[in-house]
Amino acid sequence: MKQQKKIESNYRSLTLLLFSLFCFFNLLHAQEIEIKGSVIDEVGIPIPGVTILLIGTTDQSKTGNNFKGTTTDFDGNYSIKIDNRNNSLVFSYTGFKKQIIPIGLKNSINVTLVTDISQLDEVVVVGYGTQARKDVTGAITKIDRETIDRTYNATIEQALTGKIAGVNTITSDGTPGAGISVRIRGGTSINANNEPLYVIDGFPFEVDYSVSDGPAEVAGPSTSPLANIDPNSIESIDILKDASAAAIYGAQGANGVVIITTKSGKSGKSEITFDTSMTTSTVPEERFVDLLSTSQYGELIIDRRRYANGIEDPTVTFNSLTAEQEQARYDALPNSNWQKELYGTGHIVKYGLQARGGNDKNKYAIGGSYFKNEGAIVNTYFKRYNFNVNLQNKLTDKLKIKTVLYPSYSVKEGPISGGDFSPSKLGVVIRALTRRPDREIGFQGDDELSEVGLWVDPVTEAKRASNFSNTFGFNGNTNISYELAKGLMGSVRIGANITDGKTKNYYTKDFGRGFFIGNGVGTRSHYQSVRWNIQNRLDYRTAFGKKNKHRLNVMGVYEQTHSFRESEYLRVTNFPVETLGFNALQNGLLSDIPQTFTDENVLISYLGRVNYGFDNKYNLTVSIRADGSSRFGTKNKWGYFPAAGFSWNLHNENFLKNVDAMSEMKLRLSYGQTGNQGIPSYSSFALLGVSNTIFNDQVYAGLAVQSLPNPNLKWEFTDQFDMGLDAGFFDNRLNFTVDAYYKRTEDLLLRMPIPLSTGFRQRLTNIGNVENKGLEVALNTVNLDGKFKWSTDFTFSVNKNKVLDLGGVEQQTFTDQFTNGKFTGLLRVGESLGTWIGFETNGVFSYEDFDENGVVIDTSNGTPSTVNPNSIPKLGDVKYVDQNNDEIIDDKDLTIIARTQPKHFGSMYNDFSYKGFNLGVLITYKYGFDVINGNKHRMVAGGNNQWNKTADLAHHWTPENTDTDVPRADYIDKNFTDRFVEDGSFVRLQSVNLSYNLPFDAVQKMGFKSLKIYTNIDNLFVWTKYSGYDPEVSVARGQQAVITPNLDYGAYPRTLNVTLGVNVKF
Amino acid sequence: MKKNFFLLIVMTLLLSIVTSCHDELDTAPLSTLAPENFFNDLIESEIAVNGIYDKMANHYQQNFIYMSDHGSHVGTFLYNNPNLNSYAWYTFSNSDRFVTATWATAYEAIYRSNLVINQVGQLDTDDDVLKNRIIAEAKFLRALAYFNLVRFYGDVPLHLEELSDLDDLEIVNKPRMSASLIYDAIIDDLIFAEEHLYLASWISDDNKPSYEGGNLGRATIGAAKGLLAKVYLTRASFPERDLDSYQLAFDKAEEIITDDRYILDSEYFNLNSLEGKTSQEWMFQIQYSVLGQQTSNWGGLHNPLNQGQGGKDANDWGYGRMSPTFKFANSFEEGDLRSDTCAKGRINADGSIYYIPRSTAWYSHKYRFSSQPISRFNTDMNAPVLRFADIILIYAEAADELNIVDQNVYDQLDRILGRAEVTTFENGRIENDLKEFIFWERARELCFEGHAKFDVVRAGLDKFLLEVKGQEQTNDENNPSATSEVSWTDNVQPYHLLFPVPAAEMESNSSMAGNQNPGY
Repeated sequence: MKQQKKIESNYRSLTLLLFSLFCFFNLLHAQEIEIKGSVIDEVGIPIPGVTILLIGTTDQSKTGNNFKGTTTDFDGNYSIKIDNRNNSLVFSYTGFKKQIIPIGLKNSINVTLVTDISQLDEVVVVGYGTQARKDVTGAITKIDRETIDRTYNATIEQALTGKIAGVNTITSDGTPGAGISVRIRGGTSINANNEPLYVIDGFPFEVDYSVSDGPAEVAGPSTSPLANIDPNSIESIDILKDASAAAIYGAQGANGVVIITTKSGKSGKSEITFDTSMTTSTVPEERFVDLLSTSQYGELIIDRRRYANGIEDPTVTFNSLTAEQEQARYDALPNSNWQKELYGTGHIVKYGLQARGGNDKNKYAIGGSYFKNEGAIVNTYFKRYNFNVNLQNKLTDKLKIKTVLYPSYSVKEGPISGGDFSPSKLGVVIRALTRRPDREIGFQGDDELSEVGLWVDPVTEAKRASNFSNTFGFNGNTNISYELAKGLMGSVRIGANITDGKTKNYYTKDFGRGFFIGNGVGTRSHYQSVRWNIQNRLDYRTAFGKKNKHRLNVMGVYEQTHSFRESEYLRVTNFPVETLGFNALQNGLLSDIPQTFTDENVLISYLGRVNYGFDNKYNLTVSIRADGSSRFGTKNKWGYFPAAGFSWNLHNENFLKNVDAMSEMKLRLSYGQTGNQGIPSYSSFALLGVSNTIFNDQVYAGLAVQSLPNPNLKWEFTDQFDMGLDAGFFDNRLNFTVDAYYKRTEDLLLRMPIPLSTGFRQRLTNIGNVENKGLEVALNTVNLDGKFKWSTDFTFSVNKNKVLDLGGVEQQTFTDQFTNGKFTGLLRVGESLGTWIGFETNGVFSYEDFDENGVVIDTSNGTPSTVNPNSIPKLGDVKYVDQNNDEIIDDKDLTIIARTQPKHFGSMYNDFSYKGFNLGVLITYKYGFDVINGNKHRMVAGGNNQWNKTADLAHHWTPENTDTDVPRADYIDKNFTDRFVEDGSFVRLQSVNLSYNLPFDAVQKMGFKSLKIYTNIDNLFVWTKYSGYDPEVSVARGQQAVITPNLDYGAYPRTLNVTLGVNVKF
Repeated sequence: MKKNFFLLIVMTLLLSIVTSCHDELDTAPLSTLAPENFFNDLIESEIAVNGIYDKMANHYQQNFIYMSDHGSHVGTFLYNNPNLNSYAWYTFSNSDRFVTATWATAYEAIYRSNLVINQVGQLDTDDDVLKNRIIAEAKFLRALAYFNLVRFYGDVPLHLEELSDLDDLEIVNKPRMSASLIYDAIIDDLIFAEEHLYLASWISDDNKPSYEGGNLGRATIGAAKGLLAKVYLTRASFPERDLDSYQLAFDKAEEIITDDRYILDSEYFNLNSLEGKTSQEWMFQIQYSVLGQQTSNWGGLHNPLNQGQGGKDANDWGYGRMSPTFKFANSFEEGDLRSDTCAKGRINADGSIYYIPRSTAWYSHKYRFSSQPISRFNTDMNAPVLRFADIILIYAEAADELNIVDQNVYDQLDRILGRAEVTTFENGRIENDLKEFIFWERARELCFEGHAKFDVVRAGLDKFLLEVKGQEQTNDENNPSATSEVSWTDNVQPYHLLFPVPAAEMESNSSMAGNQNPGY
């Protein structure tokens, strides 16, 4: 305390000194000259608020304390009185390069400021505060508004795609409003959540795709909880990747943290921005799945009997027609392309209006936007209304209030595209693929699977589907801060996040779910979730020592988050009158017992952080956080998460100061611990669930234990080491950042299988380890820097993931959602997460594989008894590889056939600008990962005889066509084999962005401040060998999203989007 | 002043928080109960025992149907569906979902029973009759679950206590116990159940309480006695061959017959219909109701497939996943009413049969619906566990094994034969090999009710291989004598008398290592 006082008194005397010096110089001035001018940016737009300082030309130390200066006004104009033409003017503005211009004889100085690409000078948002990049010790990547705009973003997660090294985004499905999984430096958890923590304007959002929108019966692809936030209201996104940065979020930080800052007001004349765009979205025909035509479909059906078991039967007839006549009959039938029928042109419109402005004391940013996406699939749409208010009020010099509010409302409607194995629950995409091509829209023959009612075509299904959900969201927080003493700031923040969602469904009794369940099904579910968060905080910043070489920031926070979720669910079946659907469930005759749930959880945290910097060379950050969570067992509610980071600005060292080529060189080292609490609220308890029973056709109440208790349940811990280097050369025309990391997660929250004989299958325990290690490179080069500018950004990431321990067991297998109960997902010690097992195959059996007695010559291939009961291969059978050489194909021959984690991935962004024109081209790629073509498996292996199949089946084995690896027409095989696994490697032309800023003069005449016309083509082209719609797909969610990822099954195809927009400022 | 004011606020806030204790972290479930707060009285105890019945309803679903009838001398599966025919074709593995589900649901029911037996046993109450009945119900259901386990899998882990300390590996990882010990436990439970259960609602006795009508479906004294007779007979048969048990089976069956509390329904096809759920021939069934959201697979899975033209509108429209074997379908005498349990084709809407040209496709047609189920796979049909005709056949079989067949045995068998309208012993029927006759008579009478696989295993290895391995199918509708051996016959091996212990148990139970049933 004593020392602090001393520092303060030092300050005071310093200020006094400065003040007197200032007065002294003022007295000195003799004759004043007025210099005028304007400051514009590269595209000619005036920049208000540019700081202009007058400095002497001679030795800086003599004039260093000359504070004379001014700022530009709203139109970018300034005037400044000078008394010495030998002096220079310094123009500086955040984000632009400083310019020093000698005054000389000029009376008017116009300046064009150039964007500053130097990263080290920017301010980045670290958890609970901001820091100059030069002082940062952790691995943090910032993407600003300009970078966000490189792609077309319907949701926040989309804005992250392909822009950051180490961040792997996985689109689950192309449904409007669907969520995107984000993996920062690989997945750490098996059962707990793997999504990063999102922090929006200081308020934490946990995203968990394992929480379903409704009961399994009605659930489609998961909706992004962030879908309600308008990506256009974002100012910047900061991604905390390493533990030193993320550990300040402790229990929620293990999967990285995404900090989102929304636009805030700025002082100056108010600025109003109107932005509107129109987009058309289509599924390009060349990305359709190749399917059989009617003629080929007919041939396949004919050949099933003509070449049954691989032997020609010349006597076979088809309702007294010969094979040739039957083929001719098929050739004359309609040839429908169901994909073409189902995928139309989608339209997206967007309007946004934003106003920003204010003065030194009060700043505001307010706005609203409307977004409507009528999807490419018939009858799908997503609408969103957003409002945002961001106010900053400086009540006194010491008391500040910041208020952020962003309510939203969204509506979503459409048929279900995904779906599980059950034929009644197939989504429209699977229906489009499997519907026989010789039928036309609306055909209601009963020639299809009888268990699903009328086997309707996908268009009819899509038109008659009514799945509807609406969500009202409110987010807001107020932060009051007060400067208690010099450098000591106290603040209190209260925030809330309220979501009120409703889902309504009606399934008609004619087909699908409504038929299967019974004469029409109507459901309504409603939930309300309220999370409130309170934060109390003390900050102390000081500098001391000679020339203030020592810089010290200390922070302490107490934080508490309460979450409540209440939900209700109604389900009624048996509708004599269907017209009113979900709007009148009272029209149904049978109703389920309503279900209601209340869920509550609490997180209490204490955290502290110390930053110490010395001479702009060394920075040290040490932090600790203690989290108490209600989700864990009574014995282990508290977890402690320490972290430390060190950085060294080498370029400020004397021995490197003279290396001119090097403008920046910074070394970072960090270690920290983070946790994961992403498990359901009451996981440590034994719970009794409803287990009603029937006596004499009446329901009797029953209850039974549904889950086992685990009072020892505790946090999942992740230790992470990171080593990074930030470097800039040639005046920052070449910048790169390299990070290497090692992450090890222990005490995994794992649903461990326990002996079935206990009466339970699994129990949530802390067992097992997973590691991730990787390398991230981000490279930025300015290739041309004149009137014509060209810059390039590269990112490159490698992550290697390995299961180290599964609590003593070597491996565990899991079922997926599309092979009907087969164990295809594998967790094995030494392997990465997301590994699939199945059978390896090797073409098909043909004549040369059998000797004259019909015995297979080479026994290294065979047929399992699940295909031919006697295991004796027939002509045209698929060859199964006998892995263990026991001459029997059985479960012992199962082997790993798919690895789903990319070996490496990255992106390249090229930016070209000339005068007002700007062209940005973003290319992303992922290499070396497998995709499971579940659509194909369902069509070819798991489906019905009458379904259409993939086009390769036109080349099926026949006695005439033996040179093929497609089995014969009547071959039935429901196994999961490598025939359905494909390499997903791809290069995607993700985004082409062209914009034109009209010249300022022209715009001014129109009464605007700026006018930008832009066009964006999103998802323009994909180079891949994958035969499905898109190799970037993964429909599974919850634990399945970790165990059996990269499954392409019924996913709504990603569209190609062409946008045209106008952005006007006035 | 102002400064101090704010300082005060901030400091107060911070202080108040730091000093408060964190009770708010102790959130308790709001929408679910915990076992510690339950079992307060007999009403709650009865609700807990109901949960065991619910689990048994899961146990007796399609998994049970496939495992108990497919691959026997009675039932098979001809439709080419590798996902579903693995039990008929003997291509199943130890990770198959039905092998797993049968094991798991049995043990889930056992867990629930143990909890009830322990918790209710500690309950202080003045109504010991009801208290003991609830415990007896739990014991009956536990016995039934173990009886299925021991018949399907042989030696199995034996849990008779409430699962308490989950971190105690000795409790969690129980080893397999010899089948003989399992039978001892089953018999103990059934003797207790017989003593403390109530009588079926239609029976009155001064010494024993009867259930009220609404409780149809709860375990009764009759059910306990009947199951005991069946357990004794099974224990006396292969592979246990505890020959003393024949006498016990005989005595228990005779007791039931003498008590005369159960009847043979006059209409054979009434038994497996919705109307027949209340028939007084039934000694124990698992109850289902679509409206009560306990849906059954019985009937829906068996009845003929009606793809395409024909009988989509038929009430008996089913999935056709149960075919009679050729030998069984041909085992009926001319005029045997029960031969309608096999349909040589699909059923039309008017009840007539559409004959399929290639007659390999026979279907079972035992379950009768007066109206079409709301959905075919989810029916209201009860699961048949035990009925009086079974007791008569147990009685006759035990008598034959004990060499004490007398006129009374023939009279009892005649009740079954008479109902089927075939020649009775009274009318001059002569069977030289009574054992063989009973074997096939059980098939004709009890087919597709989940007994056949147990019966053919009970008959011994030679009989099992003889009847299952050499199965035949017809080749030609016009020439019924042209038959051929089914293509999967080589798959049938002696070790198939038992099913494998599910892989999930083998992998997670450390006491299981190396102790799989031989052959798997």
